[in-house]
Amino acid sequence: MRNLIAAEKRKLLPHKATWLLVWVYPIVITVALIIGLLSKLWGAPAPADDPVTAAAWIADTAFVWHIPSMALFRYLIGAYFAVVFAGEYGWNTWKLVVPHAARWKLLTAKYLVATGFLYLAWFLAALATVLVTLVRAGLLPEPVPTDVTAFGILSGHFQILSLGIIPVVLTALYASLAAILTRSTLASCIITIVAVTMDDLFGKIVQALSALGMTWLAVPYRVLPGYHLENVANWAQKGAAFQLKLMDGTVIVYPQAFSFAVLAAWILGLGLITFVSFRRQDIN
Amino acid sequence: MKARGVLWRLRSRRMTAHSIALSRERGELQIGEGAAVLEVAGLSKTYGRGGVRAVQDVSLTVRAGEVYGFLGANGAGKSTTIRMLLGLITPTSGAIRLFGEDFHIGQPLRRVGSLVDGGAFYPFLSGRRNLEVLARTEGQNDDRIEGLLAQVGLTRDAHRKVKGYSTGMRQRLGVAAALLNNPDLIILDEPANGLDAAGIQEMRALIRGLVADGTKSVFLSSHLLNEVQQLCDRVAIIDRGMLIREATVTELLHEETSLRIVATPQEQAQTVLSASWPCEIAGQGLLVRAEAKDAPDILRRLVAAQIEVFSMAPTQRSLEEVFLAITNKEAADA
Repeated sequence: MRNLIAAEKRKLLPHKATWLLVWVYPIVITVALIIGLLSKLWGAPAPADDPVTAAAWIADTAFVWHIPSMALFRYLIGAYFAVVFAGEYGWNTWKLVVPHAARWKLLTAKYLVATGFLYLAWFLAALATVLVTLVRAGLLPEPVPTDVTAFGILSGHFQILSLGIIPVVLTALYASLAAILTRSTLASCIITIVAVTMDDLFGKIVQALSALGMTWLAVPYRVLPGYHLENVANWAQKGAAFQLKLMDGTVIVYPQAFSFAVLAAWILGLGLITFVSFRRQDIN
Repeated sequence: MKARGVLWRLRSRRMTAHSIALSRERGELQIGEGAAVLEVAGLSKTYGRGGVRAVQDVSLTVRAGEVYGFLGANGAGKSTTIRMLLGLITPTSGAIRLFGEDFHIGQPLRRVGSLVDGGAFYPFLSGRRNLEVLARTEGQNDDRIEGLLAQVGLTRDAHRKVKGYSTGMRQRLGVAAALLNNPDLIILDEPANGLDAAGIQEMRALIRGLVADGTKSVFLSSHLLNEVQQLCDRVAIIDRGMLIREATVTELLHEETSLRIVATPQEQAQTVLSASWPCEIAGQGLLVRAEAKDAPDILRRLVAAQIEVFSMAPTQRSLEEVFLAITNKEAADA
């Protein structure tokens, strides 16, 4: 497996998609932060900001970790996985590697490397954010709260980072399964966009259409990942379940454990279908 | 996944007649020439439910140290068979043995190198980087890469991205990729495609060099029959998915010999001989489908009929002619 991961790294590192959809995060965020710092330094002097708490300061520096949960960025994450998986069909290169390694290992290496690259990029972006914020504190009247500690930064960042893990895994599975079934990067991107949009907007659609008596839509909503992603995030951030009130008075609400179970079922199901489909696929 | 594997093995066991035939052949092979490195029994592939039968009941054996040619027209089933051998396509039924052991789909091919589709590579990577990726995939280090690049004449262009390579360069990189794991069996699908005359000659020398010490074997498909004739020890001919012939090149070439006779009057000679041998007028001569041992009898009959015979010589048909004759005959029989 180590060799396959090394092969995948060598393959993906120079690819344009890795630059456009992965390394873009630390690059753009660092550039934006530096521009922000320079404009503050050379712009008109602004009144000093109100002092912030340590928690707020850490949360500000951890904004990068919200990226994996946001629909727009999930589209980009899906696009990257679509390129990684469907690209092999487009380049006709499964024929090169499949005879020499177990198929499940090839897929696993792809998931590990693509996810590893994304998390490395977000880590670098988060690191840049913390460093630039510390530099700002030295140059501008924006002092770092005294009770900010390295451990506090790490745990604060990890808390937000953990919220994004399930959306990233689901997005990767949507894109990879679509890639294996359609063998097309474009089709995989479109399917992933539809699936992510459903995760994000289906609740609002169900709520709106319940006013027209279409309450039956709540049935798929209860089993699709959208509600449960929101519920898990709500529990983590607010310590309470996410509630969706329909116009007929029905309230959709589930405990955290149930949402974890539903999401785990989706992840296992999609993963299993992906691996079995690829295992049985004829590579013509 | 496991259930599917079991099902496939069960299907394989149904091919009793083939298995027995193959076992017998196996016994002969191990006693006689090189040991069997690749044995295929009753291999079939059907696409869709009740759909197209791309390959039907193909059985063949490749021995150590030989170059085995796999011939067939476009769409005959060559590529499908090769992809089944490489584990890219799951057979509908049949069995494959590699180096004496059963091969199951999904099993990595440690001792087999392959070139399919004219060298499919990552276009955004250089030739060298492509080989590095493949070496890692095969669990190897990069030690052999420079030597192989030199062997296929790509050292100078190894840093260039593959998308800028010509077809011939891709093909040569494909051969380097096929040799990367120092395989005992090399499966090449149309290795001469896209090569110029000099490239074909180099490829021929390379392939012959691979089997020179008798430890490696090459299984190659080609539609360049002149190349196959010069390169291969044995050939199999596949037509509409079915293996219709497996023989040495020499056997095939001498199978249907003809005698070319120049005699006057030609029409009368044809009348005299056609009662016993198929014959046809070809240019200024008469082509008689007969073996060399029939020559005295033919000559006697012509002289008895007061026909003047100026020359009589055996003609050897090219592999291309033999191939066309065999496949056309099959088409007519079908």
